Amino acid sequence: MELIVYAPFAASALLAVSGPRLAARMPPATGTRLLLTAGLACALTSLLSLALLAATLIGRLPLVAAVGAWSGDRLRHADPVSPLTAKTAILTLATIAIALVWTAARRARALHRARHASARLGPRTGRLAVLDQPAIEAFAVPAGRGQQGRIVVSTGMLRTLNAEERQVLLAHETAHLDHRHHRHRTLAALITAADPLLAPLPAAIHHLTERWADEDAAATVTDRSLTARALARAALAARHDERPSPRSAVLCFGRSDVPGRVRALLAGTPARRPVIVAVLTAALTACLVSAAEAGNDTAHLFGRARHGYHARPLGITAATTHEARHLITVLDHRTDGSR
Amino acid sequence: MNHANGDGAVPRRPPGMLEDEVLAVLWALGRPVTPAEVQLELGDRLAYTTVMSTLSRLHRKNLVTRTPTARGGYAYAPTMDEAEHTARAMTELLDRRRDRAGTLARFVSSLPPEDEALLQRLLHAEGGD
Repeated sequence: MELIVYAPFAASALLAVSGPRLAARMPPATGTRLLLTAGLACALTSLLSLALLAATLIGRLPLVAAVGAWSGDRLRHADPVSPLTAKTAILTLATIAIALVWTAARRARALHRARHASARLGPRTGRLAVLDQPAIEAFAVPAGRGQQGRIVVSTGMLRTLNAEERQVLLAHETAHLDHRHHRHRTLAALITAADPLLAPLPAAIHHLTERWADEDAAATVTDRSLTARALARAALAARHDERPSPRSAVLCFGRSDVPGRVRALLAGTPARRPVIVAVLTAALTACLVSAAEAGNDTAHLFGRARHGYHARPLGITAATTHEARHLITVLDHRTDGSR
Repeated sequence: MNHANGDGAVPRRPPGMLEDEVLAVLWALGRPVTPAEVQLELGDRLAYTTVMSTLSRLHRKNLVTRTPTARGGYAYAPTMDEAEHTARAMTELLDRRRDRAGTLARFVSSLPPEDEALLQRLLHAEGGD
């Protein structure tokens, strides 16, 4: 197996460093989709690479070699992957499996709670649900099937903004619900669980979906500076409202990006960036091709190891009967062709 | 791909938003108001009859109460029960910041002090009222 098996890890690291910055330079809807697609490709190919590295060691186990009908010894000699690397890959895969299950379970539970809260409101309440509280609070609650999503806003928030700014707020939260941004964020969390090198992805997707909703709101009210003003006013009013615990500071990613969002709104409609999109798509394709190449290499390695396979009576199982029979025929022909 | 990004191709007011906006006005003002006052608060963006029919719809859904005024017609106020109902339904979500970070999309999050000054400047530079 050549160096190419490590290419997805390099691609992941590269995407982690440059992806969020590139995605921020295009319309946020495009940026979100592109970054998630690239992240998914990197995560899947990295998993494949880890599996290939792990396979070189697992393939040497006598039982596995017998079932697969290849020579464990020959695999050991032909394989450039050190046992330490392979062991690390196995350990990493196990950790990733745990992280994936944990992330998926946590997200499912949070979504279930949101849907439950939404269902408790009943069909009588409209989309806007008002909390009679002075706290500055506004958020969108995603809906389950056959339910409507809710926009929960405190009276504190409603009284902070004027009528036009409230329209911005409602349009912003509506955009989150219409585009189902919680799905993008969940996918980002799962991608990072599968590929820890992509750790910056969830924060980037969080920011991009906020920007997406801002752009939608600006289009709805047809006024970018009004949208920026609503955002700035709400953020300033909320500044003393929340004393974040250290834990929520870690988990709540959108913390300091309000100024960035305001500036982006004031900077004008984001340009489409066909060149960046093309370059990223090309990089993505290269990544997938290299993964296929690494898969091929491994197949060849095991193919070569198969030639060194000698069936031993104990090693013959139902799965290898066919192989064994074939080998016996070959050996018979070699001796003198008579039974 | 991103049909809603400033192409002007988006309808000015998505369906369902009208009721939300009128209800938001009633809550923001926090006292019984006439349809004319609601219309004024919305900056005359809506026709009087539109405001009227929206208020009637909200009344039918029991989301607002109305009381006759001295000059005839009605004054409208939001139903307090509804807000308490909302608070009860959302308690669990409001208590769990972890879930909010993951699932709920919030309008703004709190600011570090250095960003505060920046936003103040932006707000004033934009000539915000």
